[in-house]
Amino acid sequence: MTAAAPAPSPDPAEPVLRVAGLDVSFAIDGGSAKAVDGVGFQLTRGRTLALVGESGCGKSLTALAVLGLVPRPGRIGAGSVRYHGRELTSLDDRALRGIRGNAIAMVFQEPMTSLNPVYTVGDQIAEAYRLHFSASAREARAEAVSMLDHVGIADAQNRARAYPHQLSGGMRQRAMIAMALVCRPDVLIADEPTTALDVTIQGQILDLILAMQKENGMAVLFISHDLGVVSEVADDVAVMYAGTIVEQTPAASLFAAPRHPYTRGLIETLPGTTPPGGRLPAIPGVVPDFRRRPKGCRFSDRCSLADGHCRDASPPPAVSGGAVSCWKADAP
Amino acid sequence: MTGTHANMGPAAIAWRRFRRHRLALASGLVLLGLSVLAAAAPLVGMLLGTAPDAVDLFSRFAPPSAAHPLGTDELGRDVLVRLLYGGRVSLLVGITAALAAAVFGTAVGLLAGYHGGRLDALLMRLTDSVISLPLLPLLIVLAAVDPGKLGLPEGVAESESLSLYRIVVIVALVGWTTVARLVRATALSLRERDFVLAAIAQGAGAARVMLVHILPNLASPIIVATTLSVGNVILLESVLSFLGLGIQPPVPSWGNLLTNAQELIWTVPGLALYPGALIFVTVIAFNFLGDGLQDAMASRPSDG
Repeated sequence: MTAAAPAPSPDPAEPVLRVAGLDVSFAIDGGSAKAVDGVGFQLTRGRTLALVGESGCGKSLTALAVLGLVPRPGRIGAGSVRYHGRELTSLDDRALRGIRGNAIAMVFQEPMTSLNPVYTVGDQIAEAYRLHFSASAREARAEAVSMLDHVGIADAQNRARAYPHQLSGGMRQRAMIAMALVCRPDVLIADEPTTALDVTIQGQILDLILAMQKENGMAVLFISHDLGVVSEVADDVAVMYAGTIVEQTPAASLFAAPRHPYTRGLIETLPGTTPPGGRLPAIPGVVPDFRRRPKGCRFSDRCSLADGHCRDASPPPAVSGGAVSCWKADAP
Repeated sequence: MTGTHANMGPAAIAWRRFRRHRLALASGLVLLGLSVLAAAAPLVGMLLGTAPDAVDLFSRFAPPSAAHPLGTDELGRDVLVRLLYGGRVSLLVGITAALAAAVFGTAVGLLAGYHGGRLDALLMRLTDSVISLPLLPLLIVLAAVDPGKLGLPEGVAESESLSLYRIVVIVALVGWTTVARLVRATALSLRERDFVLAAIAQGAGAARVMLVHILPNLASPIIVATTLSVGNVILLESVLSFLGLGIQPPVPSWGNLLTNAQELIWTVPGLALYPGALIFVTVIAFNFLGDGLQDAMASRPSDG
């Protein structure tokens, strides 16, 4: 089937993807709990937004919600996801299938398990292509080989005939990226794409994603828990904590002048900010379980600045660039 | 192991492992030999100048000779030719019934395992119900149904091969549960795998995910279970035919050859021994073959 090609945005400043007030909730006995709560951000052409946070803060769930892939029994409780102004949350499955992979593609963390072990990588990429374009098997195959070549796999013609287990981790992730990009999406969601890779390969994969972005001007939502990686790729950063975005700002100002106490804590934990030999600071405590979050500000029980007001009232979430969700922002 | 498997596809790796399993390899060859012989039954009949139902009352219970390599039975029919024709029926019934059961069981298991929820609950309770039915009485009742009264056209209802179709249908109707449970359990775990999520994120629909992405990963358990069940079906066919409810004489099957032989077991033990031995060898060979396939395909190439 041929899905409608993504309409080019007439105004380059118009966001490709606009997420607003997004809630993802899970039914628990006697009610429901929000794992993602009031998340809002925008992706623009050619720019990368990094969504940063600890494990369990809801960043992957946010990404899946964009594509309507929230795992059962979770569901999107409220909010909107607009792709070029078109609301995605109200689309039926058939219409969403036309968007997935075609307009908005996703790369996952573990390239070994994200590729089907019983097919060659060439077959898988060709299949992804034929899902959205009417092409003969031969044309799709040629497309797959040229895409593999494009993502820097040497001898692509032969590598296309390899099964996932015959490739190295880095090559698998390149194949995964080729599969995600074969339909020329204008949004790429990369969910921790380098976490499972060796450090030396990580840099190559990041460079590849940036090169692909430069080439076709797609918007990238880059999900990571690693601020070091984020500093290399992001134009803008949204820091997520316990289901909400607590600070959203251009990457440069985030690292130069973090405003939220949580962001500051995260940056202080990076090696390099502490003098050699010193003990790396850590943020005390753990992310609260999404079913039992503190009243008021969610970070209040781990925050050294928190006072009574923080524990009573939630600060408004940071839904746009330059915003911070904290009563004590910029406090010393 | 990664080094040695580096340039091999999943099928090549499985074949390599299978070849090391000598018992299974030998079993495979035995079954292949039996199948070829059974397929060549008309040819053997022609060479010996006889047919499976050619009665010769002047040479009843003839000892082995050049004309009758395994002798003749109580009606002077050639034992070897009847065994081979019986093998055609028994193997055909075993394989078709096992395949039919596997197809139906796979469909049920895949739907239940992939969709989960109420559909899963419904289909699995249905499976439990079929498993809870007492098998033999049910088979006896089903085998006793007069197809002419079910509204089948006379040509079908009266045809000689009806008992053959009937037994295939009966065995398939009760035999699909093992595969259904196996496929459901595996599909339940496969649907949580990342490559399924990746396929959905690429825009694949439910049918496509099930048939293109999950089903090929189920191939090894299905093949193993089906191979093992061929042996069981052949045994079941023997039992039913022995009870007179399966393949109806004069069409020979290994099961009804045994029935025939039971009164003559003290006078002409060979008549019981040959079909009995063939059933034994075939069933055990299918079991060894199944075990070998299981070992060969047990782990995904990624683990190797």
